[in-house]
Amino acid sequence: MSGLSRSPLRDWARQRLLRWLARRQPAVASLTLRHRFLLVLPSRYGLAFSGLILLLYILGTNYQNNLVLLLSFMLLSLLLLCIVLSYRNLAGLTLLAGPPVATFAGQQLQLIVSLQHWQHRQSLQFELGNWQCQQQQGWLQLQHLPTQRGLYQLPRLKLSSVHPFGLVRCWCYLALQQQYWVYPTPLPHSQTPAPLSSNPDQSWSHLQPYAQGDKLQRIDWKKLARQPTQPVVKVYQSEQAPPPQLCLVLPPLEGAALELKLQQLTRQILDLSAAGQSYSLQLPDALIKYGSGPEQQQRCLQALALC
Amino acid sequence: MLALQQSLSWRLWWVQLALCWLLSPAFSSVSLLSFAVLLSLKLMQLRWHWRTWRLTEANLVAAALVLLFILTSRSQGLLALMVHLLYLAALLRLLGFRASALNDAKQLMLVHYLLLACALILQQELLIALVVLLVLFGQLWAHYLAFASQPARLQPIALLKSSLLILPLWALLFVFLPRLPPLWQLPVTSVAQTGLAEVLSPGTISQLVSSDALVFRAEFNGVAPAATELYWRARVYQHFDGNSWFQADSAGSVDPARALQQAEMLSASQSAAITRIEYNLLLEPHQQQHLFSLALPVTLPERSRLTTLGLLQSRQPLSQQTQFSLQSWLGAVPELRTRQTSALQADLQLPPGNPASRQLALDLKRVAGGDAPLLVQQIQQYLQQGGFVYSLTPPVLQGEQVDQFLFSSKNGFCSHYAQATVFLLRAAGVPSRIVGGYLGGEWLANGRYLQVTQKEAHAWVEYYQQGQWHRYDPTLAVAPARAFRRLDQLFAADNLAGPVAVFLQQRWQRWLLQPLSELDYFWSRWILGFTPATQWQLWQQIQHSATMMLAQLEAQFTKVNATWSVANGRRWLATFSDHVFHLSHKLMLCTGLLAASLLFWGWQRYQTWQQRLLLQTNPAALILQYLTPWQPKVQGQTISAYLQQIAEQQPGLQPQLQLLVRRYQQLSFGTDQSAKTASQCLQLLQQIKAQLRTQQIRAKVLRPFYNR
Repeated sequence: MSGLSRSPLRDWARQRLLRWLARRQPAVASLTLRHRFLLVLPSRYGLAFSGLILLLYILGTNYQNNLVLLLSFMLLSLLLLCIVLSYRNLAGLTLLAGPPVATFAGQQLQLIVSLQHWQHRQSLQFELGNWQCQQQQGWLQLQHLPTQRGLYQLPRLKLSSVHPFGLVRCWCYLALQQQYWVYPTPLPHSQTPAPLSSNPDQSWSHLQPYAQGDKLQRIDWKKLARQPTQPVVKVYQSEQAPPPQLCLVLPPLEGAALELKLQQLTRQILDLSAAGQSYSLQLPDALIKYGSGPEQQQRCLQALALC
Repeated sequence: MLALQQSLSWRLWWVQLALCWLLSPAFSSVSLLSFAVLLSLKLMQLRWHWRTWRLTEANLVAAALVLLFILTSRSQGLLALMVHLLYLAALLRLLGFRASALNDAKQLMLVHYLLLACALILQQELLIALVVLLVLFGQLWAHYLAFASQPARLQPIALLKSSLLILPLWALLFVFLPRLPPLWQLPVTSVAQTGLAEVLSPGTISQLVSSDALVFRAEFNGVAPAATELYWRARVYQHFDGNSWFQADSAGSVDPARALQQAEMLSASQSAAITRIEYNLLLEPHQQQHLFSLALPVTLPERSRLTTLGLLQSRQPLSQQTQFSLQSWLGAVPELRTRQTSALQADLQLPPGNPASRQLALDLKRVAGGDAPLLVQQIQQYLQQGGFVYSLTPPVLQGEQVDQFLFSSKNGFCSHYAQATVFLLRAAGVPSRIVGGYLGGEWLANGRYLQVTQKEAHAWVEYYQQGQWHRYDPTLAVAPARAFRRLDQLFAADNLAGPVAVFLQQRWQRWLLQPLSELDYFWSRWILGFTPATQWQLWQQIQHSATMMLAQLEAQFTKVNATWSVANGRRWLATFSDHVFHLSHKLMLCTGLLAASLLFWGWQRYQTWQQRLLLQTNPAALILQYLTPWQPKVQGQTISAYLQQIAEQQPGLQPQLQLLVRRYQQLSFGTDQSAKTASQCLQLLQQIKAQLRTQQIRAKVLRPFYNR
């Protein structure tokens, strides 16, 4: 799966393998390793070990020594047993994909895949191209430095183990339904928008139900204590006046210009969101309506990532 | 990880220490010393964290030691040298061992397995094999550690499961995997020869019989021959130089079929009913070429030949325990040599000297006439009436040995009598020779097999008459009991320690040595001696019984089909069930019980496992499933409140219920979802349920009495 494939033959073989795997194990959110996904073959050391067994068999035959033959049969049955043991080391392990995660291009992406029934399993080795894989107790941490914006599917992960005697390698290529967003890199700060200062003199006009994105400072804590299921927020007089609504526009551009504009827009969206202002985003083929808060930010950034 | 590496190095060191001991028969004292030094250096590295060796250091030491070994151990043969080099390589690799580099460990372990095989080539006793098994186990453990990610303890359950899988597989492979004859000749070690030597002097055999060492074991198919027939021929001594007897030339070989034909033709005139017997021999390695046989062997084991003296010879010195089956023709051995006249002339050869004995021979010949059997009778009479004594410690003879023995000392061992008899016969013109071998043996395992040790070493005489060599044992003239009793029994009265010691010795032999030697016999016969021939026989047997069974089934089936009636069917069923019941009812009962208990245990384990999984995912459901039949739950009540309610009603259960509430919270809020917590929770639930159930039953049964 990993590594650079240069020759066309290897490319072709890799394509075939991927297609076969896609049929055999399509990506799922939760995957329990079963007979169907696990491959078992002797490792290189296992081949050397088979050579040793053959050598002992010849030695025992030539000396007509049954004890040496017994030793070679013992090692042979060990080799055969290893097939079962190495399969059992991996079978039953469950991997759970998490919700999609997001990062900006050029920044570290960290993905967590949680493991179930991971106890008593030894020497698990995860491999995924140039990703860093690290298994910690019940979860697997994957780190990567993405460069291209977009929406990605986690590539097939290779899990292998040579436990218990290193004679047999049991492995599988896992496809998890785990997506991650890579947003455009925000441009460094160029403008400092005026932060919304909360004026203590402002008189509040009324209460309204809490919606996601409302500032925590505005929650009516006294009411919350009485009715924990129905949080309300205070709405102030001055906010009644519609704030200056911004419409961000992405003109139809291409190439480097597009990327630059996307980076600018990302920065603007981040700043506006931080300021709690509402804004809309006009894309060449779509319009994201006015809104504010993290949801709006996420919606807009995802749209930009896909442009 | 460091602890893991350290323990791996330690284990490999222990394995090498054990290997050094196991391989020591191939090592000279010089090499043993150098290995001991290297092993202790490794110990320093392990114990006091000395620096591990670099490659150049190891190579320098290797070069020096290889030179040393070639100089000192060259005489021990190629195999010993190879073992030296292999062990040295393993040891040096361990001295430069970096446990972090997995490749080091991988190579080292392969070499260890090979060295274990070498240890088994050098020695095959039961005890050694057990030690090798133990070392193999240690090596496998080290192997396991090298590929483990956490410092793992030995897990008995997993080990048991694995061995349950491995052992049947191992046995099946051993029994059924095809065996091949040797593909090519491999070097052997030059180990000291044991048993009868090429030169016989009167003292040789009395040295031999002081040893208790096993020579071979024999198992007869059918009736065993009488004790007076158990003369195991090994060597023939022909040339006498006045002091010692030298082995006759045994270069020529004959076809056993031709030998048998000749023997039968010669004996037909004498019309003696001569039997052929079949037996199995299990020889201990004695590093010599001669094999053992009764009278004339008429079949040839593999890789052996029949010499013109009627002896079996192996093509290679026997360096491994060997088993073969053999047929013998229990009659006189025919003369098989090609140039008979010159050969028989050599059987009359005598050195000058011993005039008194020559005179005696002529006197006896005059009485007997020209007839060889009569002459032998005369000699027998002379020995019986001449006041001769049979002794293990005769006086040392010098100079004219035969004269001294016959006329002055009159005290000797079997070889003295054989020597004197052959001398007299030859001096009287009868071709004769001394045969060296073993007489009798000890029947063990209720007479199932005969064990022959060096104590049974013996020498007797063969004389020539009309194309045949007749056996005559002069020792029996003096000590007739020798044919039926072992030497130590014969001389028990001489034992200085007196009757108590003899009694103790017999007890010791009966209670400990005999069972041990029977175990050793089993080991040799069925493990070491499991040859391709035995394997073939086993296959044949299995095939035979399978076809027999099929044929029986078919016969029954056709019979049932042809004459089916109710009575017939019932009778058939009755006999069949009787058969099955009598044959194996105990076995089946045991197996059934075992299987049932295993199933029950497995089912229980499965249930517990399922419930524990449920507890980890949805603890409330299992708690309700357990407790609601005994204590109804109000709609909308939380689990904690429900448990609290039970606790109020059942004050005796309060501590358990409190603990259960805590465990439940841990499980459902995910603070601790470990298997341990879940199984604790399950135990608590079972306790509470049992308590509730007994209370309820008590209430239901006893309430009517109270009400009344």
